[in-house]
Amino acid sequence: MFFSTVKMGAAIGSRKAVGSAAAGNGMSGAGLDDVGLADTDPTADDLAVRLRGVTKQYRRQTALKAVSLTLASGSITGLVGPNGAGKTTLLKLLAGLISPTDGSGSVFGHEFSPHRRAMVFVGLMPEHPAFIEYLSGAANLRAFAAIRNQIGEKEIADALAHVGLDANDRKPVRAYSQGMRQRLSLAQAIMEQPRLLLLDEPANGLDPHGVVMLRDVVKDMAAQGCTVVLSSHLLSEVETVSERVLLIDGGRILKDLSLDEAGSLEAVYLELIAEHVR
Amino acid sequence: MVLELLREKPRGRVVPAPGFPLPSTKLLFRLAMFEARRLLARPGAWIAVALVSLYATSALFIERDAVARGSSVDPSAVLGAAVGLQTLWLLVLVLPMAIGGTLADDRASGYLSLQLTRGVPRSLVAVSRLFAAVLTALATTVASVVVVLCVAAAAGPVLFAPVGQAVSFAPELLDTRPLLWVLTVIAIYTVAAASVLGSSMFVGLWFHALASRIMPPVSVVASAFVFVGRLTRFSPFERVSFLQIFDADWAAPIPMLIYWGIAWAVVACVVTVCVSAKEG
Repeated sequence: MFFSTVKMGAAIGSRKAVGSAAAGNGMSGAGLDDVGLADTDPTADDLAVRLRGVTKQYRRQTALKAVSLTLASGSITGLVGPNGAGKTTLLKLLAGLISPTDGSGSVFGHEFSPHRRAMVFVGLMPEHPAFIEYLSGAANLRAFAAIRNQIGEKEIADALAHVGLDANDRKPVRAYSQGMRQRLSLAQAIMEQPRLLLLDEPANGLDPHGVVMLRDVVKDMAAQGCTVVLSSHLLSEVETVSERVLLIDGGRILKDLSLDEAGSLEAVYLELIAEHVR
Repeated sequence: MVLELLREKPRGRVVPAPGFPLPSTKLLFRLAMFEARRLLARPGAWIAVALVSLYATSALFIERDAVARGSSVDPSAVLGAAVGLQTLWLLVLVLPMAIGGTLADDRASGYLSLQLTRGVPRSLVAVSRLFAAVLTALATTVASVVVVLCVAAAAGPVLFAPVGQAVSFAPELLDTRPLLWVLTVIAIYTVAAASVLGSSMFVGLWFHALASRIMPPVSVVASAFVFVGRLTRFSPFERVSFLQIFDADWAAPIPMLIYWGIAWAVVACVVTVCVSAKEG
């Protein structure tokens, strides 16, 4: 298996346990605002993410408004919403890049609050991948891997192969197409086997083969117990890979849908967003 | 301004999760070396070295010819490599213009976010980049000095001519221990350039990369018009163009090193606090 050789014995062990435990309850998470969350959740041990009334304010703009949410370990959750809805802010919060202005929460048990960011290693695939342009794809991954010093050449080559890139390709990233950059970005997000994978518009610029590869990677990761959150404007893509979909607008979770009840996501989306705008 | 920022955005208390890299000297070294390599891989760094070295060696030849024609005011003072070395201070201004703005670029592109998701403490990111600035400044200064010394040696007639008391920085040191004099000059230029590069990082937290390249060198030059009279000794511009300030008591190796050392430490503290606050 792709990640079977990653040198993170303890982490793998603990994650597998969480993943297998989570397999049964799949989509136990729910949005507090809309569907309620008991203070004593019996499945709390299996929760990857728990947000309680999280608000994020940038000067005069409120990006997230009292968002409450739980995500089960090993689940795949899609975030959809119009531009400026707060999707990227939510991903940044989960990635520990920002702390909330109000509210609290935890990511794999690591608490965050207005004075504290979440500090759990996550795999983040940003909307606009950023690399060192004159280095090759493999060299860029090596530079990131050197920070945690947990994986070696083999894992980097495996990650690149998994997304359809060649580890021996010496072409600098500046010569990459947008699709290749997306693939490289996905490789950097998954190469260190994160417990939480955050994908922001991952299908941007990917060709049809790339989109299929993306689906496979997301499903593989989730099958291994990794919690995946992906934000996308491509509703069909979200519908295809996600078990659960959160519709966000104006910094609020408008609807928390499981795949079964979603029906046509596009119809639900358009109706809800239109209602919200009114 | 910094206090206001800290009040608005309290710094996150970092509790490293298992598997996260703990702040350590090894990690700091890895990050600093990586950032220094990135800076030195920029063509701008070596274009700056080439331009400043060209200017410095030109000055060396011009002065040599002036001595040959007998038109120099003090022939004994202007021969040799010291002439070229005294014009290398321009590197302190040119280097940030050439390679400053990396932090602003990385923040804008999202590269910094990818580093931070791997658990690098914000403060360590700042400190590693400050050390990278020192390493880069050292490498470029040494390269420029080597070029000047080589050209001076080839051009002759002497590498280090006897110098006049009136026109040299630390003349006794240059007369008696020229190698130590050169090392002192390198050290001063290095710390000065690292300080200005550090200021570039500070500016880059709020402004576009281009502004972070231009504002610090312009501020250094502008200080010549702000620090006048008794305040001259505090002027970064006067301190960086020190070889021309031969009659000031503060234009001596130790006070110069202390001045720029303090400047770098202040810049480092401010940048570290601001990066931690701004990225929290």
